[in-house]
Amino acid sequence: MLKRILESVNDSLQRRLETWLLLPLLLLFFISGGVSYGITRYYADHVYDRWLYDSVNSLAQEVRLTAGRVAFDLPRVAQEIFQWDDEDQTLFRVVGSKSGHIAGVIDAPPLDPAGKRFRNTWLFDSPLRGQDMRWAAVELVLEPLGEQVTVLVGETTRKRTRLADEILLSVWVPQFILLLLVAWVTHRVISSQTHKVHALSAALRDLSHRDLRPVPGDDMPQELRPLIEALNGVIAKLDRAAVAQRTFIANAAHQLRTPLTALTLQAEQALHCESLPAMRESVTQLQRAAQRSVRLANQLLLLSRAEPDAQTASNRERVDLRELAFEAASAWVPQAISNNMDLGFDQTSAHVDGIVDAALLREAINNLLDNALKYCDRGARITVSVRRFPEPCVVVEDSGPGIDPRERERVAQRFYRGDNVSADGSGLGLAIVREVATSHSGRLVISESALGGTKCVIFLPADT
Amino acid sequence: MAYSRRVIARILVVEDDFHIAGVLSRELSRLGYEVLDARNGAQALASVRSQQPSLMLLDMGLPDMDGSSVLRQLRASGNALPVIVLTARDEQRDRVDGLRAGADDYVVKPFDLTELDARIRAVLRRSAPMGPQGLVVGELQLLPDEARATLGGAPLALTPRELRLLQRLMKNRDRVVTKAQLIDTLAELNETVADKSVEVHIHRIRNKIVGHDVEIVTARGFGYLLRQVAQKC
Repeated sequence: MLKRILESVNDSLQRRLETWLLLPLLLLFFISGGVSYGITRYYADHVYDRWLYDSVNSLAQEVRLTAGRVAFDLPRVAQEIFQWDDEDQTLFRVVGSKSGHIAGVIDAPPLDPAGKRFRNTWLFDSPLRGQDMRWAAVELVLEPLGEQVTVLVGETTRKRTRLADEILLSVWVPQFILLLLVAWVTHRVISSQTHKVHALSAALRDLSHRDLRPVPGDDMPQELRPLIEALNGVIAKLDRAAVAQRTFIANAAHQLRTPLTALTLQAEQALHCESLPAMRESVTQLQRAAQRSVRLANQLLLLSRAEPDAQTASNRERVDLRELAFEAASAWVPQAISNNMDLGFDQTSAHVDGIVDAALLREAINNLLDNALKYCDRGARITVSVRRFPEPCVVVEDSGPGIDPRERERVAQRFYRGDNVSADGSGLGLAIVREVATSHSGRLVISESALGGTKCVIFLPADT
Repeated sequence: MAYSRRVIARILVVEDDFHIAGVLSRELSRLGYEVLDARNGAQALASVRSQQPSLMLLDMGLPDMDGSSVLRQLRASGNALPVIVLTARDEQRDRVDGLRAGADDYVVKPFDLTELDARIRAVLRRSAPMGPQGLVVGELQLLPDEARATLGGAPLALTPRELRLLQRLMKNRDRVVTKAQLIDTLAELNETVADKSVEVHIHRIRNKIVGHDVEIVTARGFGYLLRQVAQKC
């Protein structure tokens, strides 16, 4: 039963804390009450037992030997003083072993030798006439008569019980108030702390992909801070990704509209052409615009796939970078030959293993070669190589016009195109290469080649 | 492109998009193919049985069934018909799925006709048994069964090794053949081959075909490539 209650309590942190704080406190309250009552009873008994002891001994002094017989002579007034009490009833009896009942109440109980012994007095409990009573007894031996006289004094226990009750109450009531106070304070404190957790949940619930603010963690308990920091880390990452995506879509929309507009206009123009040769001319332009749109769409998709956030480990595999570069580059040989360019693969290239997204890396190499073939003049020399030292890398270099050192940083930016560039391009090629390199924790470095033109190096971290 | 039009293949185009199917039919017919149409998977499978095309262009997104299930049913029935998959999805996984289902090649939409034509030819070349005219590139003709070659109609004197090398290069026309692959080709003759000897043989072949519309180009570091060139003057 208790177990079930405790289990039902486990679902809320607040109820859990309150239960586990207040349950022991309540237990403590009862234990302390019991202990107080015991101590109280002990001292009350002690005090009243001393009074009974005094009484029974003073009565015993009134037992005398008069004219060869036992006499107990207590004046009426003294008896009344002795018995007077506004609360308890005090009774006594004097009884002799030979004389029998001498004085007092005849139905008083006999001495109980199992009672407590205090000096010459036995103290014991024995009810009389339906009332709890405490008795004190003294035995006197009257030598000349050979008689043993027992003096008993009994008193009802009302005063003792009342005293114990009062003391117990005076201990228990403040304790109980304290307990209630503790419960109330505990409840308030825990409520205010769990409220912060609720506020945190509410703040998280309010987040949307359009509005990714960090969760405030200033007045949060220290224990929650690491959680909040971790959450904010994730939120910041999501925010960056969302911003990047929005920028990408905005850019993409702009970039796609341009060739699509050209397409529409050229189609319109073709429709209005009067002569067949003029229409052929327009349609040729139309085809070129369509091809540009296709290429742009492909590049944009590739770019979005190369983004670090789009990466999954499942696409990664261990490949020989030399083989990958060789295969990717060999597909460009026919075009290089028809462009009258010398595209070559460095035979001294190293065999380096890398854990890469082979499709993406192939596309990156394709883009570098596409650029080289596009921007180099006839007769140019283009060389692909793979190096192991100082870092694993794939190199594409050419003897073409090269890139102005001031532009090298910007050419890898999305949609950036060089000032004096005549060739057809989306401005995404190098951006894709850079994204691919970055997504593999590597980098793209553009410098001047010993061949005289551009040298593009995709560095990949060792053992990626 | 000045390809010869001697190979007339019957191509089954399985495509539900009316416009794409129409353009493909017209343009492939213009390129010299015989074109059959199917709008869905069931039609496609029926057509394969009744018309026996030599190649199928299969769109992955069909109204009645997925392209890959058409492929699986086809392959399950033991049909080895060459299939080129057309897909608009370019995730690598989709391509792998297509190839795993039994496709010979795939083309990602949007594609242009020149590319498609080249892929069709490549797949047909790989799958079809060699025709009676053997391998033909420009003026160069090679008949592997008869172990002889002609250049501009005149017999071309080649050693067995040179013949093997030329055959390999012609089979992979316009594509790079690596030196290692050429060495393997020679090794099929059960002879140990020195690294340098490939270069020597290629040099000799070059000397024999010089002045015609076929050339063997050295791709630095890659290997060799045989291609047809505009008639040299």
